[in-house]
Amino acid sequence: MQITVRRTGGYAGSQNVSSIDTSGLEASQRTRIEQLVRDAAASVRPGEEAIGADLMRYEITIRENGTNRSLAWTDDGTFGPVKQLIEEVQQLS
Amino acid sequence: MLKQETTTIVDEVLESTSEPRQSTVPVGFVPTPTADYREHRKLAKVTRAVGAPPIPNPVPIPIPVLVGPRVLMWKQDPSVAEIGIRKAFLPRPASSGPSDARIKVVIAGMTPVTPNAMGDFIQTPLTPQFDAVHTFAVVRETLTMYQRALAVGGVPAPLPWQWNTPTVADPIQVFPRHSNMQNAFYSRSGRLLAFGFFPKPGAPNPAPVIFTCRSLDIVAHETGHAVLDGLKPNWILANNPPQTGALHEAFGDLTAIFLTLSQLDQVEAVIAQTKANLHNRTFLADLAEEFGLALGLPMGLRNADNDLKLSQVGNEVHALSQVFTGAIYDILADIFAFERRPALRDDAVTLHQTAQYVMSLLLRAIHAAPATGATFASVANQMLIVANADGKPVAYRNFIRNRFTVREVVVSPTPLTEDHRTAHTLEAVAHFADSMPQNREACCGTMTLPENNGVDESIQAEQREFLEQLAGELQERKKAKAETR
Repeated sequence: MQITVRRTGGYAGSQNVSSIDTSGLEASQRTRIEQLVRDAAASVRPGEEAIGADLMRYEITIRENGTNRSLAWTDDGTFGPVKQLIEEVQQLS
Repeated sequence: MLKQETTTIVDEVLESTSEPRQSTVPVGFVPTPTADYREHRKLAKVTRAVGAPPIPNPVPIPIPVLVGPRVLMWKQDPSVAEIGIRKAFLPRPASSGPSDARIKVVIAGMTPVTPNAMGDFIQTPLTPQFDAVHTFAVVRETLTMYQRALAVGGVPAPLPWQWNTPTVADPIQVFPRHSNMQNAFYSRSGRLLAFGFFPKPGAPNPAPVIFTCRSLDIVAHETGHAVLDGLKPNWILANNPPQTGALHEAFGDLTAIFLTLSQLDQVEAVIAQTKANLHNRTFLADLAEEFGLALGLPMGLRNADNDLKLSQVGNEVHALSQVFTGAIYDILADIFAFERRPALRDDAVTLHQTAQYVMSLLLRAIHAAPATGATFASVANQMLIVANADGKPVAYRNFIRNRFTVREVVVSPTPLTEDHRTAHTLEAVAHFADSMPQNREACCGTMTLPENNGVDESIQAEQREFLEQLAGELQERKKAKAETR
């Protein structure tokens, strides 16, 4: 599973792309990341966007078995599986 | 005496910035009820006192009630060493946190900061406690500035947060050390202001950490978003045209400039730095200096003294906002130059008064602008109406018209060399991004304890007063609505 996180927006507006391939990870780490992907996907509700200013927006693309799916998420300061996934990908990339 | 103390504070803090953190505040920093401080005062009195001891005044003088704390805060941010740290007095009661009726500061894992026995929040620079106090002070000063600007009949405006209703008086939560991120933001959904921190990019390990909460510009900017969201709740929604989003961003940056110019010592620093020409290089126009430096931008993350025209920017809200911010900065500089009388009064007095007026003018124009889809032109036209209603010289309106015309925001029906006529509404210049959706992606490179001394009761009373004000406003709106039917 290949996971790419693209970050845009924010006060400074800097852009950043982080990417990992879970096949290169240890088994326990891979299992945890892939579970985070499932939890993140289940927690995001399409069309529901946080309201605020200078918020950072994330586009997470998951490539698995030749298919792509993506999640869009806005960081409004709440902590959950999406935020956790983003932080893990950014640390591992 | 005050100047000596200020000089000492600046010197000591400047020395401290080369150290990771200080362990104690110098004893003479600010009055505290400690044995050390009493000793310091005795010594100072012996060494500095001149002549006989003062004779007690036979006339009884009422002792003033101290209602607010003194705080120590950064004037701009740690990178602007020229002006450093200052003492400030917040004329409203504040409790541990710090917090008050409208603002609550939270740092995860840290015990709320409590005021000392004199009710002051004096903390050691570069510590989480100092960050909490500094951030609270900037948010409080920003809110107070705008409450005064919209005061009616000597009563400051309530300026509710977007979620406040006659039954909901929840304060805004402020997180000075929210998380590791190169960002600071306002979230209506979370009812919060969040300030990130991050290691300086490209610096050798251990890289110094940049705390966005230490920037007056950044804290004022985000508070500006929250204030504007309370005034114009539809403007923040992404389905507005790009210019409405850009107005939000410009209001944030302009809030930082107006807050700086509301502080007399900073106004004097600007005058000295620029020789009274606001178009000379100054920290006033540089926004978020430390953040900008960390990202390789020596003139700040954005600069208000810019020459950008509407045709030179796209639909990205931060880039677009610079056109509006630049126009207002030019108008401020024009009115200041027009009002200067250096032979009769100090330039700092003129600049302070001019900035307060332009801030009030802009806020009232925004208040009168459309509830949704507002454009630069709609706010510019409202500024002309308000300036005229205030009885200001026609030159004020000429400055407004000319600056927005030169920036290709509006078209003037008369040559710019002629006076503006009150009947003239300026038409907006069509911009290729008008029909485009907003792009928010990139950027221009862009106290005794309070429960024992009545402070808590005072804050609760302020909350009740705030709710009553909200209920009163609601009734007035209903009444006005019924009358129009």
